[in-house]
Amino acid sequence: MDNQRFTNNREMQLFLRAFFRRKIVIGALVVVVSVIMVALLAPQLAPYDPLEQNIRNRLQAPSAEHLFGTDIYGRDVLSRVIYGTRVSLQVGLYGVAIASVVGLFFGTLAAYYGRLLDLLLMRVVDVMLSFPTILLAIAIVAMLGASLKNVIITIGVAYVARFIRVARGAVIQIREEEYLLSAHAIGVPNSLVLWRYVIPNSFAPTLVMSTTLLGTAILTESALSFLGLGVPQPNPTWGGIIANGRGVLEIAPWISMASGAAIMVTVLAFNILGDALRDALDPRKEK
Amino acid sequence: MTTYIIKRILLAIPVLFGVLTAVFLLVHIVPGDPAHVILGMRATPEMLQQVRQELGLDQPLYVQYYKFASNYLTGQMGESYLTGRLVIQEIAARFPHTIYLAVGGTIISVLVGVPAGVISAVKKGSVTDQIVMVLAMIGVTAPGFVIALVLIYVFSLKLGWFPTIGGGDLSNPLEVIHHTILPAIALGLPTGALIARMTRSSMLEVLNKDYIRTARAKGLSEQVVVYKHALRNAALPIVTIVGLNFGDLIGSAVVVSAVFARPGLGKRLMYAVFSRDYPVIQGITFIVAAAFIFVNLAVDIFYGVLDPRVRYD
Repeated sequence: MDNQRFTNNREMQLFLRAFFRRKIVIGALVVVVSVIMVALLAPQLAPYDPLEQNIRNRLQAPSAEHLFGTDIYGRDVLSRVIYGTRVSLQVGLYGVAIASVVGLFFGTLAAYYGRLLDLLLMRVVDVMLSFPTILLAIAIVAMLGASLKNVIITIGVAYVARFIRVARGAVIQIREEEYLLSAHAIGVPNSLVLWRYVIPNSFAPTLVMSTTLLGTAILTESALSFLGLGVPQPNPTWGGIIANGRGVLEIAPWISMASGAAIMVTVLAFNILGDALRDALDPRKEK
Repeated sequence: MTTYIIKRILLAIPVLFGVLTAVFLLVHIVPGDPAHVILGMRATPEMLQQVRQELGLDQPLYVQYYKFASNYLTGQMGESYLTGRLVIQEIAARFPHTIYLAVGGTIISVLVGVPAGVISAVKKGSVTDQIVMVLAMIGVTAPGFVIALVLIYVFSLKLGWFPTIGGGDLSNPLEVIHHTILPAIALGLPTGALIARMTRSSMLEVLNKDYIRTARAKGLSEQVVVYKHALRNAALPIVTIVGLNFGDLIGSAVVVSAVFARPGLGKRLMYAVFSRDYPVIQGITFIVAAAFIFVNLAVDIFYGVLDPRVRYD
C-alpha cells in the first residue's frame, strides 16, 4: 500500500467505494464536518456569550430561548457546548498529531536501524504502555499544570507509544522486501530509501490509528476536564460542563446530558471513520 | 510450562523497573525546582533549602534515584506531605475499594460482552446482530463518567435503589456490593461493548471451521456446538482483551470513583494532585502500574495454559 496507488484514478475510485461501503460512514462524515464547522464558527453560532453569567436566569430548563437550558450561573449551556467543541477538537487534533509524527519518526527509526536502538525504544514503549492511559495523563498534567498547551502535550505523550509500535510493525514487515534490498543494492542513500519507500508504508497504518485515537483522545480530554485537570474553568470544555452539572443532576440533568451527548456523538463519528478507513486501506480485507 | 512461566516473570521485571524509573522522573519533568513547586508562592529561601535537604534534592540525580529505588523495593514510599501518614498505609487502606470496583467492572463487562457477542455471531446479519453491534459501537464511545451520571440519575436519584456516593463499610460484604454495583456497571459497559465486538469476530472465525461442521454432523445440539466447541476455541482473543482491559479499568476506576465519591485510590489521587502531594501521586501511580503489569503477566500465563502453542515461541 504505497503512495503510488493514489496517483491512479481507478485506485482512488476503488478506495472511495470501499470507504463509503457502509452508509453510516456518510453520516459519520457529516457529523465530523459539522463538529469542525461548529468549532470554527463558534462565535457566529453561539446564541450567547459562553461566559456571561445571569444569576436571575440560573438553572432554567431547556426552552426556545435556551435550547439546552442554563447552568448554575445562568450561563447558556448550548453556547458553552458550542465553545467546548473548540477545546475538544484542538486537544484531539494537536495531541494526536504530535503523537503520530513523533511515533512515526521513532517507530521507523527503531525498525529500520534495529538492534540496540530498537531494543531500548521498545522497552520505553513497554513501560509507557504499562500505565493505564488516563492515569498517565493525570500524572503528567498533575506535574505540568492544567492548561490548553499542557493538556495537548499530555495527550501527545500518553498516546505516542502506540504510534511507535504501529509504525515499527509496518516497517519491520517490509524491511526485507526485495524492492528495498534492490534500492540499497543500486546505491540509493539510506535517507532517501527511508523517505521515499519506508515512511509511506508506515503512513497508512499511522493514519488509521490517528483517526481511531482521535475519538479516544477526546474522551481522555473530557475525563481530564471533568476531573478539573483540563483547560481551567470558567473556559467551556465538554468535561467541565458535565462536572458543573453534576452537583445539580437531580434538578437540572440537561447540563450534564447535553455535553455528554456531544462527546458521545463526536467520538462515535470519529470511530466509524477510523473503522471505515481501516477497512478501505487494508488490502487483505475483501471489498 | 514452568520454563514459560519463569520466562514471563523475568520479562516483567525490567518493565517494573522502567515503571519505577518513570515514576521517579515524574517529579523531575516539572520545569524548575521541585521544592519551589511543592511550596508554591509562599516559599522563603530557608523553607526551600529545608525542603531540598529533606527530599535529598540537593544531591546528584543518580543518588536520588538509588535512594528512591531502594526505598520502594523495601516498601517505603515516603510520607504524605499533607497528612504526614505513610504513603503505603494510605494506599493499603484504599486499595480494596479500587480492586472491588475493577473486578466488578470486569465481571459486568464479561457478563454483558460475551453473550452479546456470541448471539451476534450465531445470528450474523439478523436484526438482533445489527442491534447488538450498534449498541456495542455506542457503548465503546460512551465515557464511563457520563454513564455513571445517567445511572445515578435514574437508579439513585429517581428510583432510589442504590446509594449515590461512598464505597460502603469494608467489613460488610453486602453493603460493599450494594455500593459497587452502579460504578461497576458504569465502568464495565464500555469494556463490555469492546468484548462483544471481539467475541463476535472471534466466534465468526471459529464457526466456519471444519471441526464445527463435524460437531454439527455428529448431531450435537446447537447449544453444545456453540458454547462447548466454538466458544472455547474462540476464547483466546477474548481472554486477552479482558486481561488487557483490566489494567485500563483500574485507571478508569479513578474517574468513575470520582463521580461516586468512592473512598478508593482515585479520590485520594485527585486529592493529592490538587494539593501537589508528590509522594502520594508517585505511590499511587506506581501501585496501579504495577497492578497492571501483574495482571498482564497473569493473562500471559493463562494464555499459555489455554493454548499450548504459545509456550514454545
